[in-house]
Amino acid sequence: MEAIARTEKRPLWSRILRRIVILVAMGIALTQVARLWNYFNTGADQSEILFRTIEQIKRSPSVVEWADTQPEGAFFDNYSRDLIGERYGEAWQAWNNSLDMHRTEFLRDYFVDSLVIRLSDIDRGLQVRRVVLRHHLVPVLFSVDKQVIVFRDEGLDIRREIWRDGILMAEDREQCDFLVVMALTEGRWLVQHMKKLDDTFVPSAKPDDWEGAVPVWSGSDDEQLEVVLDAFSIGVNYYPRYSPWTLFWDQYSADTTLRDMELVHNLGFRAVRFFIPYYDSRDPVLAEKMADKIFSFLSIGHDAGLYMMPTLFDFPASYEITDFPAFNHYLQSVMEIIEAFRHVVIVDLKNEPDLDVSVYGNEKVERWIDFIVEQARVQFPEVPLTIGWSDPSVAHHFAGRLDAVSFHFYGDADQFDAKLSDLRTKLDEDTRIVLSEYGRSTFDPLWFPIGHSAQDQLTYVASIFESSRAAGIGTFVWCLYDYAVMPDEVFGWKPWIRGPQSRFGLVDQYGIMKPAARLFVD
Amino acid sequence: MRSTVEYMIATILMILCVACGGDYQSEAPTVSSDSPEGFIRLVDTIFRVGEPVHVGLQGAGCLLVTSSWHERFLCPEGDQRASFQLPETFNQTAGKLHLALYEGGRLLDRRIIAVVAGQPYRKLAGYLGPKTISVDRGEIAQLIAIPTDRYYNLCEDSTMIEVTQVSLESSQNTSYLSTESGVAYAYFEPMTRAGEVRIGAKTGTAAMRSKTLLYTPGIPGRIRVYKAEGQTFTGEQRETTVVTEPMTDRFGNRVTDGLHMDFVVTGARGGTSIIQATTANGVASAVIPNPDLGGEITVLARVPGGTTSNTLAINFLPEITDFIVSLDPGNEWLKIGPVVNTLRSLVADGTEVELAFTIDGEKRVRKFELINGMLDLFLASIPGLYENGGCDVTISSITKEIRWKQ
Repeated sequence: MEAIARTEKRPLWSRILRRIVILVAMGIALTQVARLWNYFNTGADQSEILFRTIEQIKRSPSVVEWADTQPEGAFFDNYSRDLIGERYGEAWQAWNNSLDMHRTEFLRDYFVDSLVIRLSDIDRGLQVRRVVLRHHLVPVLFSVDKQVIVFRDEGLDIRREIWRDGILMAEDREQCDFLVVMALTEGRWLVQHMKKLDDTFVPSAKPDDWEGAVPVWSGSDDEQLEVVLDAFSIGVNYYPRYSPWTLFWDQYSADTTLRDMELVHNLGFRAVRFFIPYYDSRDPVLAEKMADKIFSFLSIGHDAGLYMMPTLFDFPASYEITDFPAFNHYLQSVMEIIEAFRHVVIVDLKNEPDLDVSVYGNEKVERWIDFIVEQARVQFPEVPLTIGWSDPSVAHHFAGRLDAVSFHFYGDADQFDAKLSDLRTKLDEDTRIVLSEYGRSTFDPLWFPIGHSAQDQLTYVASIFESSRAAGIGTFVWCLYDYAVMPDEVFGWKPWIRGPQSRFGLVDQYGIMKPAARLFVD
Repeated sequence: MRSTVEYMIATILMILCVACGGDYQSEAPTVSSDSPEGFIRLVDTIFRVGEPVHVGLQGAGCLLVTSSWHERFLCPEGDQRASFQLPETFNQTAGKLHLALYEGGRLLDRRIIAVVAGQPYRKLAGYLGPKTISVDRGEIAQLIAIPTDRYYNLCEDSTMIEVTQVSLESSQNTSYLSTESGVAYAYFEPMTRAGEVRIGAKTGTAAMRSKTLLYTPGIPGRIRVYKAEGQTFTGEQRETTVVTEPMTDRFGNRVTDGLHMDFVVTGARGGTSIIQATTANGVASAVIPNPDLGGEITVLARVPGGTTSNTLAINFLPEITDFIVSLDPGNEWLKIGPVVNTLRSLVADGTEVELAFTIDGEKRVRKFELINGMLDLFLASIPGLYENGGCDVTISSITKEIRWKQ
């Protein structure tokens, strides 16, 4: 009776509050149980892993090319070249896969039993991640019945990481040749013998050693490069108003681009920096669609009389060595389109890689940059390159291997000169510098205490722009538009991040120019 | 070649060491580096496959061993570091062994050991293809021999291989090949004699399982056709067989069984038909249905895309030269026969009789068959038959006119 009396004595608000607390607690508990349930019920099963592995082997991105020579024996026709080359590339992928994943069952599809036994003898305590980008095959002998082939795989460049218990034990590059015998066995080309002819191991070098290792671009369009990088060059970063970031290429519209490039031109800009996110270029359908869109964008920019600065590898999937062939494939696919446009004055290979260091580690990021720069240099020696660092204090990295140093600045305007001077001290005197992003958001609601007005934006942009002109460097303001749509996968749900990011534009989401836009018109 | 030279140098060094009273695999380091933190000590730098490979480590670090196929991290401790044997898998793989001493991800020392492939061992892998070639089409076969040592390493180049050909007549031919890029190959060109040839190959103690190369005869060098039977008469139910003489290729080998041939038959009126046949025991034959009408037909045989025979002319004689037909006085019954052929026997049952007459200016034909060489026709059952003055009776292209009796 006493308890009942106590309950009855409690005020109404207390009882309601108590029930709300109980309901919220139950809701949280249920959510956590559901997450736990979900955690244990997601992930790949055996068949899915198997299927993925087969897919990975089949979609081997290694480039296999045959020397244009005829071997002893039968005529080596194109059909046989493609068929055998494809099987050989897949064989390597299966082998690499077995070293990494310790799954050796796929080796039987590509190697004869004696080799399978040998290749299956792996140290399961080690995880060897190995990639080969290119196989240059020289046919030696093709039997007259077209059932046996002997060829050399020359100049193999194998990159290797050796891990034990999650620790990177060793990392190196090997350059070697292989002698290979393959035979058509039960309808499939199988590797019968492989003999390593000669090899040289190159231990991984530190970034400092890399500088100057590859000759710096000295193309015929040096003048054009100067134009876009000099003090009178004025550029703008671009995403369409209603489809920024990840939505850009999905919802690409040539009409929108046409209007926007006209606006960019009318605002007085001479160059546009835009982004081409990483995509799986091995998917032929996707690759063709993207190629069409990139071609369209560059063509429209060209017709509008604008210089272009494409930024590649936005939102990459990883920095893992095993993905290097896929990255190389993407690089080739995109650069082959870009290369044709002479108004593309410089290619930004990566946007703000220094921000990824905290997630992936310094070594992985630097190794990735080293790889991409080298591949771009070797395959497209005439295309000028840069990397867009988020902070001028790290922008000197790889400077010796790039055609220009590019950095972003969103700090206090009065610190800009000091930061730039500091950067200059780390660079050679004649190093070209470009400020590829700077700007200020006009997000200024009542609840956001650190917002800025459109006038603040004008002051900031004018200050940085004038300092840059005085310092003789080119600039790309961030950015053309305010955005009405902000992709969740890029900015999450937090309004204090989404809001400011959506209001950096010189033109607001209704198409009205902010004061800072006039700066460039004049 | 380079490895062979290296091996020879190593062998000389070994002999010198033994001669000097030393042990060439003693633990005294002969090769080492100067790294103060840690280095690799090697007794020797060249081995043949199967020989134990000993390595010593000085100072800190773990050893990463890399062969053409494998990687291992070895971290011996205590006394074992001075000298230890690499796992067998590494001395079974010919090529370079890369030894790298790592400490905390840092490379302290790096050394290379050469492991030389062994001698050819037991089974010599061989591929023969194609396994059948014709004696007269310019085809060639190829034997590829791939010598490997007992650990399936490709043997060094310039390995000599003895190739033996034995034909059914027990004639033997031996030739020698030398490996290049790991393989040796030989071509087998067409011979004039068809038949099997056994091909064997060996090198040292390794031998290839013998292969059989079949030389098939070529296409017929000459074709002659003839008629298998004597007298030939017309008639749907008769057939005439045309046969080729036994055929041989241009080298005298009897042509292969199953060779496809066409017999081209041209009729008396110029129509052509093709009868397909295959050879058996060097002979092909075709069965030609006899024509209805007498006259000459021609036959020739040919191999598609190849030789063509003589043209054989066959003259078909009419089977029936005359027949008896009589009409009863009331024009009701027509009696045909007995009909006999040129051999003076009754014609076959089913021989066709055509009765042709005209109704309203339009020609009508009714067909009947002879049984026992006879046919009795009840004319009154044929409507419209009597409208004109008579009818025609035809058997095997011989026609007789019948006029109604008054």
